[in-house]
Amino acid sequence: MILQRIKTGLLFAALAALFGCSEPPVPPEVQLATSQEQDLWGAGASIYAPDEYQQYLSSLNAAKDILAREQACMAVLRNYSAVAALCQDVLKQGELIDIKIATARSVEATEIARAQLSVQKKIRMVRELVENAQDKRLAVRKLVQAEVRAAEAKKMASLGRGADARKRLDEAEKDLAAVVKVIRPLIQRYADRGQVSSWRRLADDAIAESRRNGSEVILVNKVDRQLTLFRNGTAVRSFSAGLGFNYLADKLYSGDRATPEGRYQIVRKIDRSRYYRALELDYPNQEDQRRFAQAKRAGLVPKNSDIGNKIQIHGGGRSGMTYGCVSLDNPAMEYLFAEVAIGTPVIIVGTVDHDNFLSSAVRNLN
Amino acid sequence: MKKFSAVLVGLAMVTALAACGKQPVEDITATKAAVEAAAGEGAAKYVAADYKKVNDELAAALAEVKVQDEKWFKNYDKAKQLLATAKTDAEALKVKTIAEKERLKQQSIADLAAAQAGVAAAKAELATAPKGKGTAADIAAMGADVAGLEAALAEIQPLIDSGEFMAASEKAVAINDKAAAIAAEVAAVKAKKKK
Repeated sequence: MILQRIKTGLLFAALAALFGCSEPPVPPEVQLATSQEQDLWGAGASIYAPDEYQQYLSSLNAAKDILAREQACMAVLRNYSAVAALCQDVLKQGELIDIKIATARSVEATEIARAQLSVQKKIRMVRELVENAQDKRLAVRKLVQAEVRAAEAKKMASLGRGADARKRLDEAEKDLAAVVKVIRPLIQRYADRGQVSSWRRLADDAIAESRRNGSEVILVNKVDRQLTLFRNGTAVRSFSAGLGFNYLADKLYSGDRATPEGRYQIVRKIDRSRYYRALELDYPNQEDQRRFAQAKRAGLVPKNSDIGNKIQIHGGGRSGMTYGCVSLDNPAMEYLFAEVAIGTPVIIVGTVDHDNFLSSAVRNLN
Repeated sequence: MKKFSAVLVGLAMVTALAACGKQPVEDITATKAAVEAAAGEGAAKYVAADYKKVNDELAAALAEVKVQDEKWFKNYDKAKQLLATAKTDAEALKVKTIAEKERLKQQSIADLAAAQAGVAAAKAELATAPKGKGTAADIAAMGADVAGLEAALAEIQPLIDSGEFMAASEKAVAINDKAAAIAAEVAAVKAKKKK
């Protein structure tokens, strides 16, 4: 009887050992690998290390398959050593992916920062150009759109959305390219050494003539927005001047709001003008008429346009935009009016300096 | 007779075990459908982390089904439990996705309205700016900026319509900020003119 009970007890113990008590615990690496996978996904593994992450997921799934197979066996027969080894391998793969993500993110952040800097630099440059040049045609609406996109990119980059930020910066670059496409032709000739030399010759010849004849000559420099009175070849006084809305261009026809370039002379002194006092020039001269006729033949000016006239140096303020005239502050105008006579040459040039701010801008835009 | 009874009992046990071990096809189908429904609402886009969690739950449940498929004596109880959890979470995810989507949509609509108001305010400010000499170039530049912002505003509604609410909001905020800056600049020009 006792023997029978002992036998029964041993049988129960054996069954217990077989079906439950000896079940080995699931290796901790399984949980570690699972949570590592979550972290890698969150860090953007599929974006920054897609191939490695795919391989990693295959390894992790293989480990989970083996785990499931082992769990399907009777507890006593389960052996998780292969699962643990595989998961350890997975964890190592994961660590490498983690490093790759960090590196890729860092590279991306650097690239985005560089692109942002480049876009911001270009925007600043164009803004300064627009502000300094004060030519209405430089006000291009795409510029503000580039600024908006740059601001969006900044926000996206701060949220870790590198790909989105890069896309916006690319769009901003396209906007800026469109802006540059409009602006460059307007300022290109200020970087043209031949053109600047020609302006320089015009100015030098007039100043030399003033020296020779002991007479006055007025030189208007568009880039410097300055009017200088020379006497005996020497600069007597300089004044800041306002110019046409589209002064960077050479005047071609009436209404183009450009200030003409070339050699003119005062043909009329107007003591009482709408803008204080005025000195009327002999625009259009022969060269202007030749250019206008040529442009008209080529269809480069509006059909019904005429060449225009009544280009003046007048008062009313230096800091504004005109329809093509040169404007001075009234005290400056009063001085000039008193100092010059009808017939005084007036030379209007783009610039006499090869290294003017527009030529720098052209270089930078390039 | 005894032998016959033993066979009968054996058969009954096998039948019972086989009945317990039937694959939970309906549960699988229902859970997958629930996950797809959440995905259809844009869960991957609007609540990506939650979407991944539910997908992982579904994958774990299907793995458990596979385990049981390979067993002699199948027991899908755990698989059913996992599927039920995944289904419940997927249904909750769908609700959450719809709510989040709506929240982002309303936010983007509000941001668009604010940007429109901001640009309109800048435009109005610009309209009252002094037109005389000394400010014409500045005003022209700001006029171009306002026109540029109006053009940029037109890009927002298509983003909202295509469900890109965050992108819409980001653009709207950037435009509004720029509009506010222009309005401040115009005010500065006015002040300059007064002096």
